[in-house]
Parts: sequence; C-alpha cells; structure tokens
Amino acid sequence: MGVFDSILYGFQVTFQPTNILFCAIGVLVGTLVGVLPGIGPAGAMALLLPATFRFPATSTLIMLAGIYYGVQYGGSTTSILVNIPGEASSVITCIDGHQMARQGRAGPALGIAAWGSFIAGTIANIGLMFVSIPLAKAALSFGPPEYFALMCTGLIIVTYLAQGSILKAVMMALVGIILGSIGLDVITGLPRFTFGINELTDGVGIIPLVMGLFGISEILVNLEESLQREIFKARIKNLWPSLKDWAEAKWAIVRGSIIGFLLGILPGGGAVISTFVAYAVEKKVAKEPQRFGKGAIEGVAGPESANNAAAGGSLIPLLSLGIPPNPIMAIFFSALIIHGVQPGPLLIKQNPDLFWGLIASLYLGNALLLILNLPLIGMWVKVLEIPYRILFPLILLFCLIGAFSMNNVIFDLYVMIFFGAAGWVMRKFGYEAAPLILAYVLGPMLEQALRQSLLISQGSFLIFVSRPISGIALGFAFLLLLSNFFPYFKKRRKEYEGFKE
Amino acid sequence: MKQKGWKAGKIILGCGLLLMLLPIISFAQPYPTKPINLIVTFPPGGTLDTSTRILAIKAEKILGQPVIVSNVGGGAGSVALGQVAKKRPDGYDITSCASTGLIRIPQLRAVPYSHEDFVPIMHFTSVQSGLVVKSDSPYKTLKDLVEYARKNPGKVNYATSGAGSPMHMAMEYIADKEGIQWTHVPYAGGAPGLTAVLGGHVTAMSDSTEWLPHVKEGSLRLLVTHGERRMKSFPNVPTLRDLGFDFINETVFMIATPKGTPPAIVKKLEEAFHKAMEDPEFVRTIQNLEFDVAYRNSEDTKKYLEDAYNRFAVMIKKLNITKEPEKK
Repeated sequence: MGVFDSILYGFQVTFQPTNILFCAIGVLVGTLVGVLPGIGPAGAMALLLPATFRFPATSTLIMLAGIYYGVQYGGSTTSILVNIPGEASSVITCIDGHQMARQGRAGPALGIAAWGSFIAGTIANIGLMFVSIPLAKAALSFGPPEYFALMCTGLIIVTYLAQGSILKAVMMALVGIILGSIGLDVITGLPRFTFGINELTDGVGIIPLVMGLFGISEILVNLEESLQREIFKARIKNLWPSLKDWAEAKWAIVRGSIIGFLLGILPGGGAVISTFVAYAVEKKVAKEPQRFGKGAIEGVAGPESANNAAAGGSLIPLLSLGIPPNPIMAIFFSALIIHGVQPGPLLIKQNPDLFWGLIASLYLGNALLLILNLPLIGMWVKVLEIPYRILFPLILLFCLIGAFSMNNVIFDLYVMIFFGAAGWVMRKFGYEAAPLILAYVLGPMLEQALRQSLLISQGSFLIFVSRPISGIALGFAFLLLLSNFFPYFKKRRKEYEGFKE
Repeated sequence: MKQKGWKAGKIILGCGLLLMLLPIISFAQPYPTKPINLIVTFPPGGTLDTSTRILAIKAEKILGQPVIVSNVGGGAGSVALGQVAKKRPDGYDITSCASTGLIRIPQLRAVPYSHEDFVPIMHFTSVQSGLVVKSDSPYKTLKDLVEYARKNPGKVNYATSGAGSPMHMAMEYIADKEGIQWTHVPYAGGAPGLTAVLGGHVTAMSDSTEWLPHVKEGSLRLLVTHGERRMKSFPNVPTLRDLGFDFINETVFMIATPKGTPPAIVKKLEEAFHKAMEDPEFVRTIQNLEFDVAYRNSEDTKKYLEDAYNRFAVMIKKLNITKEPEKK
C-alpha cells in the first residue's frame, strides 16, 4: 500500500459515524480543558480513559488525540485574553498576545492563533504521514551529549526573550535553574533543597509555578489599575486578522510549524521548548525586533503554530517506535495497552486501521477545531467586558482548581500563592517571568544530560565536541551567544566616540 | 399552649434519642455503608493507575458501595502514603500502592511514615523487569556481558529509570557477585533510557517492561529477567535465580489500609478484591502490561513485605547505595 492508498483507507476508518462522534467529543473536551487554566490534557485524558474500555481502540485513540491537540488550540485563549497561560506551552503567547488584547486586537490575536494552529496541525500531519519512520530513527541518534548541546542553545535563547534588560532576564533564568534543581537528583535518587518537605521531592510543580507567576500576579496587578480598564475595553476593534496581519504572520506560521514538528519528536519538553524557540526565531528575523513585547502578531503566530505542530510531532516516537516522549503520550501508551494493542515498531504493520485512521482523524479534528473555534472568538472577546469584580474571583477559582487538580495536594496551592506574590513583586521591578519558566524547564534536563554524558565518557569533556551533532550544536550556540554582544559593542563604541567629542 | 410545648419537647427528645442511636444502628449494618476512597499513589495513566482502576470497578460491584479512585502523585508514592497513614483506620480510606513506597523509599530518604503504619489487604500484581542490550551487539547472554566488563573495566554502562531502584540493585548485585565494574547511568523514566539503549548511547538497559515491543520486534535482546518466574512471552530467557544470583525484583502492586483498621473490615476488603481479581477483563489488562497476576492475602503480604524490607536493608549496606543521611 502506498501512502495515498493508506490515507484513503484511513479516511474510511475515520468517517465511520462513531469515529466522527469520538473525534468531535475529543476536540470539544480538549478545547474546554485548554481554555480552563491548569486543568491539563494529562488529567483530562486519564479521567476519560476508563470510560473508553468498552470502545474499540481506534475510536479511543481518535478521541484522546482530539483532546490533546484541542488543548493546544484552547490554551492560547486565556493567554491572550487575561494573560494567564492555560498550559506551559502557551506561556510565551502571553507576551505579545495579551498586549494585542490590550490594544483592542484580541480578535486578530485569537484568529491568527486558531488559523496558525490549523495550518501547523496540517503541516505536522503531512510530516507524520511521509517522514515519521526516518525521523524517529534520526531522533535516536540524540544521546545525552546531543541533548546537552541542544539545551545550551535553548538557554541562550533566554537573551532573546528579554523585553527590557538582558541582565534581568539572565538573573531570572538563574532563579529558574535554581527552582528547577529542587527535588530528586536523578543521578543519586536523593532529594535536594526540599527542606524536609515531602511534597517537594518531585520539585516545584510547573502548573502551580506558571499559574502563580502569570495568573495570580496578573490579578494583583490589575486590581491596582482597574480604573484604566475602561480604555482598553472601548477599543476592541476588528474580530478577524486583517490582510496586513496575514502578511506579517504567514511566514511565522510556517517557521513555527517546522520548528514545532522537529522539536516535538524529541523526548522531553518538546512542545514547551518549541514555543520559546519559535518566539526567539521570530524576534531574530523580524525587521523591527523592538515591536516584540508590544503586540507583534508574529509573536503569537509563531509559538502557537509551534505548539500545535509539536503535538503532531510527539506522536511520531510513540507510533513508530513505541516510546512515549512526554507524560501525555504515556497515557496514549496505556490506552493502547489496555485495548490490547502493543505500541512499538510493529504497530503500523499490525494495526494499519489504527495508525492510518488516527492520522486521517487528525485532518478531521483540525478542521472541526477551526469550525468550532472561529465562531467562539466573538464570544471570547466578550469575556473582556465582564466586570473585574466578577471575572477575577472566577479566574482565581479556576487557578486554584487547576493547581490542585494536578496531584490533589494542598501544598501545590501554597506554591501557587507564593509565586503569585513573587510574580507581583517581579513585575513591579521589571523582571520577566518567561525566562524563568524556560530555564526552569531546561535546567534539570541540561544538568541530567551533562552528568549522564560525563558518566558515559568517564569524565572526559571531549564527548561534547567529538560527536558531530553535539559539536555543531555547541558551536552554533557559541556563535549565537557572541552575536548578542555585537550590538552592545557597537553601542559602547558610539557612546565612547560621543564621549570623546 | 402548655400542652403543645410539652409535645414539641417530647418530639425533640425522641429525635435526640434517635440521633444518639444512629451511630449504633449504622455500626450494626455491615461494612461498607458509604463510598470507599481509594487513593492511587501515582499520577493517572500509569501502570499502577490503570490496573487499579479496573480492579476497583470490579470490586465495587462485590462490595455494593462505590469505590472512588483518586490519584495523589509525587515522591515515588510517598506523598500519598504520608497522607493515607494519617487517615482514620475505618476502611473508608484505603490506598493502592507499589511496595516500593513502603519498603524501599523509607529506607532511602526521610518520609513521614513507616511501613508499619499500614496493614496490607492483599497484593494483586508482581512487576516484571529485565536486562536488554541491542540485538546487533555481540552479547548473547548475561555471561558474555559480564566477561566483556571483566576484561574492559568501565567500558560497559547501563541505563535504569532511577538510582536505588530494584533494576539498579540487580545490576550492582551482579557486579558485586562477579567482582566486576560497570557504570550506572540513571534516566528520568523508562522512555529516555529506552531511547538511549536503542540509539547505542549506553550498552544495556535494566528496567521494567518498556523494552518489550523492541525485544519482540528484534531490535533489542533480552538477556535476563528479574522476576520470581520466567516471563510467559519469553520462556527461554532465564531469570537471575536460574543463573545462580539470589536476587528478585520484589515489587508488587498492593492495596493497603492505615494501621488499626478492624480485622473484620480487612477480611471483607481482602475477599472483595481477591474476587475482583478473577475478572477476565482485569486478568487481560495485567497480561497486556506483561506483569503477572499474583495474589497474596493480607497475612502473607505482610510477611512478604517484612522479608523484603529486611533483605533490602542488608542490600543497601552491601552495595553501597547512597541514601539520605539521617537527621539528628
């Protein structure tokens, strides 16, 4: 069977009425879960899993996949409207998305996020059809040294996230690394910096951290300036992205899709990292990088496309190798096993209906999401008109539920409230939260990769440069770091010359 | 008027008496009279969660009351166990955990409970694990790998999903017995370790059954398993015991309740969950996970855990497994 015959066969599977229904339920639940801050896809999928025991494996998988990429769609909504990321992978969307909303351009921001997601989902799907097997094999050549090099590059991106002072961004990144090192040390299996608190053995939870730094602090900041709100409410202009918006965003969508797809394949925080990388790339290639942080539409289009493409990309290791690259894929893995389907290299051969049915359902689900989400934009924008005295308690409630529902542990609520207060102080003094989050995600992976590499090499640092992929990546990272200094030198020289005169 | 007041008083008195009797009445009714909370000590979607949820669906039919499954994740099960240990021992708050959280974690780090704070109800599954290498490597048996490591000290490295895990201990036990050295490279979870061995970044992986599809398909070779018995899917692969190493991965999935639960209630739960285990859907799920359906009753599980606890204590000392220094 060629790819086209196979995909036709897949559509036959998908367009059975029950499967269409499951797909629709999945994307609807996913959108809701994505919009509600904190209630993550993993929790929603795991809760629905026992309900699927009676249904065929293909229908179950179609529904779970629908939830997964539905969440990526919905996650941007709260980021843009109220500056609260629904998921870690929408953190970066807050920066420019919320600024757009403040300028009365929430509609175009939501619109470009939805279209970007649709296009990215489709690109990722095409990639999944044609190149999944060779790409999955290539991903295996990434060992600890390669990850180390990749994470180094990732951390240098912090300097591109800075809206104001680079020094402050780097300081926040260091705080993020310190926060990331709380919990079990993977190499010795012993707790670090937990101060005897048992709940901290798994580290500071990312959801309470993100919700606190963004959500709670946003509420606190807004409480202070609620008088100014009338202004930005009055300026809700058009609901759809204009032709100018499209012209600005189209390449950002394409670049975001490719970055997301490739990084999504790698085990670890692929989706989260891809959004940061996509943002940094957009800022780097932009003609006027100073627009970023002030409502640049590329700053929404790039990352939002990236996280959807990453959702598609992360299916590759699971379906073609049987390796779940993130906790959500681990639930897919369980779902397959419960239904007696053995995930692994033989899955495509042994269960073609499942594989091709799932891929065809991704096309269907993406289309359904677009149909579902575009009319909702008008409704979401109205959320901004809800008076603060009603909106804020609601947001606070959802944040509390979200932080609690991850592990059902009260301690996570304290963590969220603590970082809410910390986030408020940070904003007062112009420290940004995004570099902290990126470093928090990358720090532990960097440390593990470094220590694993050195264990393998018996302590020799040559392992990082003697292997081609890591050598090239580290060289690239080094150049990237250097390139940051050129504008600085130029400025200093100018200042110096000005001083001489 | 007066009469009426007296009547109202009588009614109130009567109601009061009834209220006082209520606990006695409900006590007289056989357990359980209200829904039972079952806390799974790992996040949703994992193997423990999956197998427990199916078991719970079957058990609630037998018990006649809903069994409400919720998850409290964190600290390899120790966060949840710390919570459950403090619950009232009335049989309405029970937990499904891996024996790891009871016998190993408390010996490695400071936790707010001990294994003696719990009464086991039964165990329903024993976990499988084993050692794999890439199939294009020259090692056909465990002996080949050991001999290579003997001749090339430090050249052999292996991945596991955690320091201090039984899969790590198994490797160190072999190394100690054979007088060889190999390097442990811990990963955060089975999937990254699997990627490392498939990509040739480490020589071998000692881990639970994540490797299974790859062994079946032929990209990895299973050298030895750590269970009490050989795996059904691989009858030709020896266990460590077959090869003369006195080591088994003793991890079981079990139901437990806080210490002090009345024996009658423990008995009732033991019977209900044992019966639930016979359900074909449960058996099929465990088999799909490539674990073994294994049952021990309350009494035997208690003894089993006690033995495992002591064996582990000896092993930590002998193999120099790092543990958190005790607080003074």
